[in-house]
Amino acid sequence: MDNRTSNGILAGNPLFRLGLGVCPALAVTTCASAALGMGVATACVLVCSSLVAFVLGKVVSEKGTVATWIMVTACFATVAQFILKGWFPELASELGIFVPLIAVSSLLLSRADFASNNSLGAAMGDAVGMGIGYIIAMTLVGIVREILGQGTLFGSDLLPFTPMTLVALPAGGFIVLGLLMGCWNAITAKKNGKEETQA
Amino acid sequence: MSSNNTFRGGVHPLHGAHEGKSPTRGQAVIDYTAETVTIMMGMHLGAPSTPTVQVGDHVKLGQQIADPVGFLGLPVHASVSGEVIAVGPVQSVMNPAAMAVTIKNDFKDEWVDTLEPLGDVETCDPTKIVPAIKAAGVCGQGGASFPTHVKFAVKEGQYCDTIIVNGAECETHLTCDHRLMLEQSKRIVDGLRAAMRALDVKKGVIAIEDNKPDAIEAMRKAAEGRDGVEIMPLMTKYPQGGEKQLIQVVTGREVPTKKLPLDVHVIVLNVSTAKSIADAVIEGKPLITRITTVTGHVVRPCNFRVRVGTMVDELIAECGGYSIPEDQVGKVVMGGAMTGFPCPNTTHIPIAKANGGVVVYSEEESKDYDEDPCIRCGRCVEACPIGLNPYKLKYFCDAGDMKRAGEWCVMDCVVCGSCSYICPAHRRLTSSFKAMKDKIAAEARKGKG
Amino acid sequence: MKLHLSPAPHVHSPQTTRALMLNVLVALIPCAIAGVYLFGFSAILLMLVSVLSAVAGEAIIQKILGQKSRINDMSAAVTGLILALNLSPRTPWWVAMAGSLFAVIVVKGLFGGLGDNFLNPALAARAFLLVCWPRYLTTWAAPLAADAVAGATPLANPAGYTLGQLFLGNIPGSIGEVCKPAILLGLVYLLFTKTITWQIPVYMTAFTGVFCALMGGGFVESMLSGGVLFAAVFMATDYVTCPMSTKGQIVYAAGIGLIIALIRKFGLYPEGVTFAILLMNVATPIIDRFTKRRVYGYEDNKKKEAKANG
Repeated sequence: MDNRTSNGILAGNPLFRLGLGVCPALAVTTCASAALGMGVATACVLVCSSLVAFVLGKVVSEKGTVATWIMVTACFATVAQFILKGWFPELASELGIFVPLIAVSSLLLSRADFASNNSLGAAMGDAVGMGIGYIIAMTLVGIVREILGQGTLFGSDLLPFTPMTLVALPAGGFIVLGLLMGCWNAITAKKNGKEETQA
Repeated sequence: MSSNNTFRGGVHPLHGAHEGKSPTRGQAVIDYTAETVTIMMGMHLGAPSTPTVQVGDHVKLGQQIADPVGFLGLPVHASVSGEVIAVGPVQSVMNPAAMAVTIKNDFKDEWVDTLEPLGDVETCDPTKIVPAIKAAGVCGQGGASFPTHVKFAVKEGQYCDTIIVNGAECETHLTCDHRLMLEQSKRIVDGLRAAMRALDVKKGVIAIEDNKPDAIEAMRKAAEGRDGVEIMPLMTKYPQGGEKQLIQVVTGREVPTKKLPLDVHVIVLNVSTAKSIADAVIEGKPLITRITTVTGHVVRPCNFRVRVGTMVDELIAECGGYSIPEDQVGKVVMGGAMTGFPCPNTTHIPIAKANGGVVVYSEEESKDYDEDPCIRCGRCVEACPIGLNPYKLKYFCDAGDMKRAGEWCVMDCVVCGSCSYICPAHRRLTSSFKAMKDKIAAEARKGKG
Repeated sequence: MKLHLSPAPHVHSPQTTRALMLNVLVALIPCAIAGVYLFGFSAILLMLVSVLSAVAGEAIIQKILGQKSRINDMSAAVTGLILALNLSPRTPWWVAMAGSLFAVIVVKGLFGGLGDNFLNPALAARAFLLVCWPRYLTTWAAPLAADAVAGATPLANPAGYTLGQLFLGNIPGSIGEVCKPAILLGLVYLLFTKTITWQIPVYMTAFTGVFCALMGGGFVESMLSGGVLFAAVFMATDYVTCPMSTKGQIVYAAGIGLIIALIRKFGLYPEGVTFAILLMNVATPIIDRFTKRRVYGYEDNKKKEAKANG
């Protein structure tokens, strides 16, 4: 796997390490399927907008970059919204406002910026890695919150005990996200430590 | 005779055990004359004096054996008559190589007559008092050993309206000041009067903690009929005898940060210092003896009047030795429990002008504690007599953050030990503040030089 | 003879962290006994589960985080016991266990352990349980009833109980909070051993009564119903999360009283003690900042700060 891609998934995971795209990670992760859907939608928009940003980066002046990236991401976010509404109306209604809001996601803007300043290979590797990393992170948060908060996983009953209402609330989202971030950091830190000692 | 005169904060160390003073407070002072004395040159704050005698010289009692150096310098005098047998570095409590003169006592106690007695303190020439104090080598005997004549150096625009004699003796275990007040009360009042006349001060206050009612009574009697001298009982609380606290309690004034007591028109003298002043003025005797309490785990705890330069191990032997097996001895501390310095690896250490006591601790009492995490109980905040936030200050000091530590007033810490004493987590607060203060002071000197 | 070298002071106050925590445990015993007497075996079970899981949780988190094991300081046991005494006697045991683990692992351990938690662990755990499983936390049992009939608490049904019942604890409620004489006994012990000072318990209870009375409740009734007294003695006084200075503690106690009154009058929950104290826990650093003691020899703190900043 390309180094950039693996970085986006593990050591530079957008949600767990960089703290990007936190808003939807708290809002739509009450069940795993919605979290997965949101992750995939964001990843697709990310890859497309990074590609366009790479091309536009050569022509747009520095002052106009942010506005341009928002235009680009907004375009793809709109496309994503139409696709979702057309083919997955249930999921679309569950995600609600957060799909259009992809347009102003910090994750998208930062990656677009990265893409415009790097080679095509690096830009695409980064976008794909970050996309996959975001899907994984969102799904993880979604799985934990769905199991603990509703006692189900992807809709099927699982938990023998009464689910914890708190986890399904936004406050619980913060707690679960924080705990997962901590675990993720501990694991990647251990892995990095090993690599360092090997080298 | 309990008193409510006190400051805010403070602690009550060994409160259930009469502050550790009960073994010695009833012990009348015993004279102890050593066979050899080792007189250190740096017994006062300021540069050590320069020895003027050589090995083989014969010296008389009270003869000046070293010249003062610099503004804070003091002369040093022979505390026995006899032959100088060594001039060189010895182990002191703080310094492994302190310059000292060792004299072998011939037990003749021949007095030298270089110092001129001024006579009665009420009638002598007041302008001669301060020079006499300097010539007698008097320094503060409460602990800081500040040369006393420098305290009397009133600068242009300054004036002094109150002299406080500190008989609080808030330190644990020590009873040397207590005994002095009982046995030499008149001399102390004489010393205070001499100091008052030297600076034309109208008010003198002798402040004594209320755990010494007999001393309060004795001093009251001695002060009867003396101009402007009053006795003030204080609540028994540590650090009641701290200079800043004493000034606050007695006069209601606070010494502004980075200023001296004279800036609020006050001079504070220890009772032993007052007595030494009287000795110098009335008899022309230099400071060559002092009272030292030897207590803790010794067979017979005693108060000794010792010649300056007497060795600690000799005094412990004179008390009948340790009352516990020698391998059970954990610490031998020069001074009280709150501010004393432990002897490093040997007790063969000379007594200096400001050593008021020697306390022997058992192994059990000296065991070291691990520092636990701060539980923010606020006891240190309540205990600090200065109003600092020790729990917070320690984080900055441990991190070496001189700027923040300074902003949180580390330089105003009086290193009294109250916070470390009270901390339930055994955090070593005081010592970290002391280290930080030294570091900042060293940095400031570097900046100047 | 080997002499130790250690900095002054050479004596230490007998109060240690462990001794203080043990004092709190001892002070909780009357409440625990009263709880067992009033609510029976389930109370013992809850206390055991809660204390054991708190201690185990502390040991585990300290192991994982590579810290020195400090379960000997008894703070985890105190947290566990206080949490149990804050629960309804009909709470399932696994709920108490989850609460204890949340308290010592998430609220305390992950924030750095004892002294670094900004919330009272037992209260944060109770709030956690209350939001997670509100049904279990608000199902009450009538005291001294063999068949554990569910009853309404005095807060939900203010007219249903006499003052005498409120005081003696013959009312439905949490295990430890109902019997006021037991709590007062604990308070006396804590004051006598100088574990806590009187300010927070007295001011908090009084302010709660005053603010509730101002909002139309009964002065005495509001102090005796719910967990006000228990919280005032055992939880608001938690060293780590209450202000340092006496002045700050009064502000803190007043804040708690006001928030309790507001929650009881306008809030969704009948009881507001838990959230009131948690909110004031969060405000504690700010209170500390503005209630610093003046340092000896300085004019006042504000001038000094202005000087330090400019």
